[in-house]
Amino acid sequence: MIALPLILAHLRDRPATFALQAFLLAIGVAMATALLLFSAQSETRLARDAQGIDLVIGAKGSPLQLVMAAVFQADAPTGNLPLETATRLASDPRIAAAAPIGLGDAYGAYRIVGADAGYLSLMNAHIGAGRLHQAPMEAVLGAEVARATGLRVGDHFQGGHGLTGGDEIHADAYVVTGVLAPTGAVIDRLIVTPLESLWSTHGAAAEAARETTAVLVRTRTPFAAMSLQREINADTALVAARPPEEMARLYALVGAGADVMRGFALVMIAAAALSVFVTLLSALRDRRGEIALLRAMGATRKTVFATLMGQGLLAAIVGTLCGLMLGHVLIEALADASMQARGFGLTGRAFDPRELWIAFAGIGAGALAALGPAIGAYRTDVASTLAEAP
Amino acid sequence: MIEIEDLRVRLGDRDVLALERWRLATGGQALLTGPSGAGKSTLLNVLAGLLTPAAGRVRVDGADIAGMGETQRDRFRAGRVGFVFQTARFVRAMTVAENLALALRLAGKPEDRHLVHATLARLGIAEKAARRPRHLSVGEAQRAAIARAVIAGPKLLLADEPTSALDDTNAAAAINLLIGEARACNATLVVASHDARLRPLFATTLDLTAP
Repeated sequence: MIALPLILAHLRDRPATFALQAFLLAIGVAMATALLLFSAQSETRLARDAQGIDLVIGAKGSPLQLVMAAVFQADAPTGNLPLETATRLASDPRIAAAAPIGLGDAYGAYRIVGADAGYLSLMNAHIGAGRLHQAPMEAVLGAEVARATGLRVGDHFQGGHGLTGGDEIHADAYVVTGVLAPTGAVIDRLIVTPLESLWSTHGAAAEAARETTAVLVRTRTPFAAMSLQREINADTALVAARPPEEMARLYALVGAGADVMRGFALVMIAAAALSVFVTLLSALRDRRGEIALLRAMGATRKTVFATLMGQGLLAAIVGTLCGLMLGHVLIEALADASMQARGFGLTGRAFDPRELWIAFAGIGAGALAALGPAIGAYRTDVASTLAEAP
Repeated sequence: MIEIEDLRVRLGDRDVLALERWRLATGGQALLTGPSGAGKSTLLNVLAGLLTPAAGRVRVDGADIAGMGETQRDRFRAGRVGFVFQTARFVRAMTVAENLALALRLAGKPEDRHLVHATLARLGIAEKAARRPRHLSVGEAQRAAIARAVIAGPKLLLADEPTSALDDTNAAAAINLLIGEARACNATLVVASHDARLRPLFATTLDLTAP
């Protein structure tokens, strides 16, 4: 490869130009990569969290908010409904499994969910250590909660009112009876206790005052979910939401922003390609004499083609690789900076196969930009160029 | 070394060179003279395989270069021809030593650092090895160009007005080096020049007139 020392010599001669090309491309590729990782990881996570839940029933309000609060544990609930209503609804023959849940308390950054074993089986969670909660003020911890807080079976902790746990600490202490096995889903970040615990800490011991925040439902057939949803939304003061429908709505909301980011990433990649093109075009003009010299020294047309092509490709490859790394660093930094992002399943340490497409796009853009100038070098007329003054 | 018969070179729609017959033996040294436009550079380009003649027979070192394909001519030129220009040309991004190493590489020879330094030393510019060509004086640059032309041991050394840009002292040094280096590697030397200072140094001259 005779072109290689020439490529390296020109790189050494103009490091700033090379750095600028690689930098522009790296920014574009990093944005595209971060966007891909973010949307792919969050969609995977949301889909996993909502797996097996066909319907969410809650107090009247935004169905998206209801799903966000009751399934993804990421928003405030829409309100409460009487337990008696929830129980009556759950007895519908079209329902295969129903789990009433109560929200409103937290321990540190971790939500305390009032629910029985039915919720755990709906969420596909299994006990990893200890035993399930049975009595009021007993609790099982999600794997992540146990890891982060250091709480173990037999330990005591006090919940606080509010979903961030900061507000007002309840006097009664919970006892940890078990720790759930890791699932990679939202349950890892939850503390589950019987609904009775919430009622007693909130002074709602009276039968009639017992409320629940939402009911998560698995129906016997997909069609049943739709007919139930229609009936509940039409006839009652409640709202029923199907997670897939609300996720689609969420993506549509977030999608506009993502499209802008994606467009910006493309503009950056195009700007990088343009800078490669302009640099190589002026290099071609500056180095016509040098190209003719190389040919006079016996270099083939292919070699002078490869010299300019290689220069563009080198910038494209370095820029693309840096961009891919930077994209992962960005996502990892985001996950480090925000517990919510980490809880959302974001990580910069996972590779998405679709990143290969981004790499192809980045390197391809550089190659395309270098092609014209490289063809110019290929076509240089040696005899007439040598006749010009250098 | 060089055998030319009924050579005709066209550029666009006009003849730029017509040469009925010319021969030069291996190790021979010839001066091409004639007014500008007479075809001196054109003949050098034909001998180097950079221009394809419209008609005629051109044999260099036993090879029919007029009948070769382009890639064959590139290979021929890389291995057997050394070129010196009126104004020294270099890869500007490379040091003098790297330019010489590149010539070795293009000729398909190993990048022998000792050979590079020995050649530069022989031509009196060893201390310029690590400098960029732009830091060389005109005379030094031409010596470096000669060093690059001869380092791979060419069979044919071509020089196009090698002294025209130089003052008397540098011109004398450059042409003496060319003649000496050609002799040392037993290369056939063809110098194209209208520089009258060179005439007494060559036994063979070929006077070209515009066709």
